[in-house]
Amino acid sequence: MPAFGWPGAFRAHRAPDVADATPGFRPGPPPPPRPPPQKKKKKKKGGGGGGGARPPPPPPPPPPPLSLPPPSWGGGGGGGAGRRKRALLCRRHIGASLANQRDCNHGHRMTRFALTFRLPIILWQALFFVGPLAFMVAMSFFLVKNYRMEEAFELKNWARMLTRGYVWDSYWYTLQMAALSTVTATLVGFPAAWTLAFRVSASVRRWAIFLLIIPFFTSYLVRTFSWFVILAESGVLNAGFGVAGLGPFTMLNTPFGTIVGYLTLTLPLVVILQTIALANIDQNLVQAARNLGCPSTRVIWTVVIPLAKTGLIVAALFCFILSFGDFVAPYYLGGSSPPTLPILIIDTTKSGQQWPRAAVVAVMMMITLFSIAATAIWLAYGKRSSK
Amino acid sequence: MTKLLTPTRREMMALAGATALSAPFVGRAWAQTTELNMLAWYGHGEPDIVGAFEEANNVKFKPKYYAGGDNMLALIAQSPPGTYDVILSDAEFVQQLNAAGYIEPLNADDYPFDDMLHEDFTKFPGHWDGDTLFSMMVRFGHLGVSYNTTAISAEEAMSYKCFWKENVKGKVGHFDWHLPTLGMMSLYNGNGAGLWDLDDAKWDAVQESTMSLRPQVGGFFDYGGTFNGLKNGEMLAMCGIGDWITGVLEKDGAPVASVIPNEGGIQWTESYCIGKGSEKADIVKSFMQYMLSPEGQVKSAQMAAYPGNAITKAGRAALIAADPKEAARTNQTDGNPMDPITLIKDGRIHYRNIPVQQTLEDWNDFWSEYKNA
Repeated sequence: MPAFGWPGAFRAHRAPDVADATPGFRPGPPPPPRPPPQKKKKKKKGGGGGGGARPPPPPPPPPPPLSLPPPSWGGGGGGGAGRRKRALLCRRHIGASLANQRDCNHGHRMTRFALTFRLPIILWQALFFVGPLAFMVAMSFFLVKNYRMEEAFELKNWARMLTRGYVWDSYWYTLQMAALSTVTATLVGFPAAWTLAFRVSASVRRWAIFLLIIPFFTSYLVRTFSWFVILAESGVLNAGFGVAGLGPFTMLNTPFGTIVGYLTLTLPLVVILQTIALANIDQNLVQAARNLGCPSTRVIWTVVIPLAKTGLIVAALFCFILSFGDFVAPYYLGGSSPPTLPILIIDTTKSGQQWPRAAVVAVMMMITLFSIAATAIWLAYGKRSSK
Repeated sequence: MTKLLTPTRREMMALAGATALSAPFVGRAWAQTTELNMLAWYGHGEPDIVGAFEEANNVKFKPKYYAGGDNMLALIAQSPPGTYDVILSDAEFVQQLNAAGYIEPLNADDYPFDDMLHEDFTKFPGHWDGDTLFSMMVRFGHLGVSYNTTAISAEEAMSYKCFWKENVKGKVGHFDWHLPTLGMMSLYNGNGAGLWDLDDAKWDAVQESTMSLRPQVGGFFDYGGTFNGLKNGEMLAMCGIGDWITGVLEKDGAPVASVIPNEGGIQWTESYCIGKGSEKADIVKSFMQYMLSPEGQVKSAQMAAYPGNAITKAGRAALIAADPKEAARTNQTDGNPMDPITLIKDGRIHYRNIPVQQTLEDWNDFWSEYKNA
C-alpha cells in the first residue's frame, strides 16, 4: 500500500504500465467460466439402484466460440434464451478484454444496451462537433457580397489568406506562444504535482485539489482582468520591485503578459492532471529504485516520468490546445501586439464580415491541433501498445 | 352568513394587501408598454439617455449594441426587415444604409434644421438623397491627439509628431480600427482635406509613416482596453481616439486630455435613422425629436458611456445652463478658440469618411500587416 493513500478510485484506474510492472501483480489468463448450476435431477423411480457413489460431474462444456449470432433488434427470433446467451458471451468478452485486450480482437457487434449508452455522445459529437466542423470547412469556400455570405465553391479565400504574410506571422507567433506556455506550465506544474502526489498527506492533497479547482468557478475574463492590478506599471508587482530599488518593468501588453494569461487558464488544470498521473505511480517502484542506489534525478527521469508519461503528455496537450485557441490573454494582457490567430479571426470577421476568410484561419488552427493531438496521443499510447 | 358580510380586521387587511399587490398587473394590462428595438453603439439605450423618454411615453428600448459600421451593416443584413425600429449609425455609413434600402425616408420639417450650430449640419454628407432626408444627425465629436499630460506637454500634443517621442516608446496605444488611425497618419503627411482621397503615391506614403510608428506602439485595444490603458498609465498616448474616451477619464480625475493638433482632426458623427419596415416609426420620430430637443442634447453631452457635442444652438445653451463645467471642459462655449464649431469653421476638422481610391479591404489588409509588423 503506498504511503499516500490515494482514493481507491484512482488506484483502480492505474495505468497498465504500472500494473504490468508491479511485483506480484500478474494479470494472468481470464478465469475459466463458471460451470452452469446443475439442476437437481429428479431421481428416476427405481433407477440407479442403491446408494452407490454419485457419478463424477460432467466436464464443463467447452467455451462457445467468441462470436455472436446476428442480433435480433426487433425482439423477434432471438427470444429470452438468445438474449441470455448473448449477455453471457458479452460478460465473458468483457472479462477477456480487461485481462488482455489484444487477445480479444474478434468481431463484436453492438448490442442494444451498448448502443443506448453510446448514442448520446455520438449524437452530441455529430451535432455539435462534426456538423459545425463540416460547415466551417464548407464556409471557407463561400463568398461575401454586401455583408452577406453567399454559398459558393471558390478557392479565393484560401488563396488570399495563405498568401498573406501577416497570416503566417500570426500562425508562427501563436504556435511559439502556445508551445512556450505548454513548456512553462509543465515545468512549473511538475514540482507542485510531485509535492501533492508524494509529499503531503491525503487530506492536504484533497484540499489542494479543491483549491486548484476553485479558479474555474470564476470567469476566466475576470481572472484575466485581475492581472491588470498586479502587472500594471503602477501595480502590485512593480510596487514590490520599487521597494527593492528595481523597475518599473513593463509587463502588460507584452508577450510576458500573454504567457501569464495562458498560465492563468491552464496551470491549475495541468497541476491537477499531473498530480493524478503521479499519484497513480506504484510507490514500490520508486522505493525500489532508491534502495538500489538510484539518485533522485535519475529516479525521476527513468522511473517516475516513464510511468506517468501518459498523464503528463495529456496535461501538456490540454495546455497547448487551450493556449493555442485563447483569445482573452493575448488580447487583454498581450495588447494584441502582435495578434495571435484567434485575434486574427476576430479582426477578419469585423472587417467586412469576412466569415469565410476567418473560417480559413479556423481550419488552419484545427489542422494544426489535430496534428499535434495525434502526435501527442501516439507518444502517450502508441509506443506502449506496439510493444 | 353574518360573518361573511362583516369581515374581521385581519380579513380586511389581507384584502387590502392583495389589492395593492395586484395593482401593477392591472395597470400593465390597461397600458401595454411599446418596445422599441434599437441598434446602436454602446450606451445609447441606457437609462441615462432613454430613461426619461421611456417613462414619459410608456415605451421600452431593447438595445442591440455593435462596434463599428461594418458590424452594424452585417447585423442589419442578417435580420429581416422591421427588426430594428431605430438605428444609430456613423454618418459615413448612412449612404450605404440608404443604398441597401435598410432605412425609411424622414420628413425634414419634423426636425430643427433652423437651429443648427453649423451650416454643414443641415445638409450633412450622405444624409440626403436629393431633397429627401434619410438620417438625422444628433451628436458629434472630434478625434486628435489623446495623451497623458504628465508625459506630453500641451504644446507637444499640438502635432501628431508627439507619437514618435522617445519617452513614449512602447507606450503609444491604438484604438483597434484602421479608419481613424490611418486618417490621422494621412493628416500627419499633410493631406489635409484630401485625407481620404489618396492616390497610390500618397497611400504608399501614409503606409510608410504608419509603419515608422510601429516601434512606438504598445498595443491595440477595444474601448475597454483603451480606457484601462490610459487610466492605469500603461499607455501615455493614444492614436485614433479623442475626447469621447479621455473625457470620461478626465471627469474621473485622470491626467489625460485630447486636443486637435495643427495638422487637423477628424470628426465622428452619429445620426439616427428609422429602420425599414418599422411599425413604430411615429414613436421613433418622437424619440429623435426628443434627442434633438435641448433636454436630449444635454443628455447626449453628458452621456455616461462617452460624451458627444451638442449640434443645436438651443442644446448648447441648455448645456451651458445645466452643466457649465462640462460645457467649459469640452470647449462648447461661444468665443472659445477651441470651440468644436470654430474648429470646423477654421477648416481644421475633417469629417470621417471611407477611403475614396482604395477599398476598405485594402486599408484593413494594411492594418493587419501593421499589427503584425
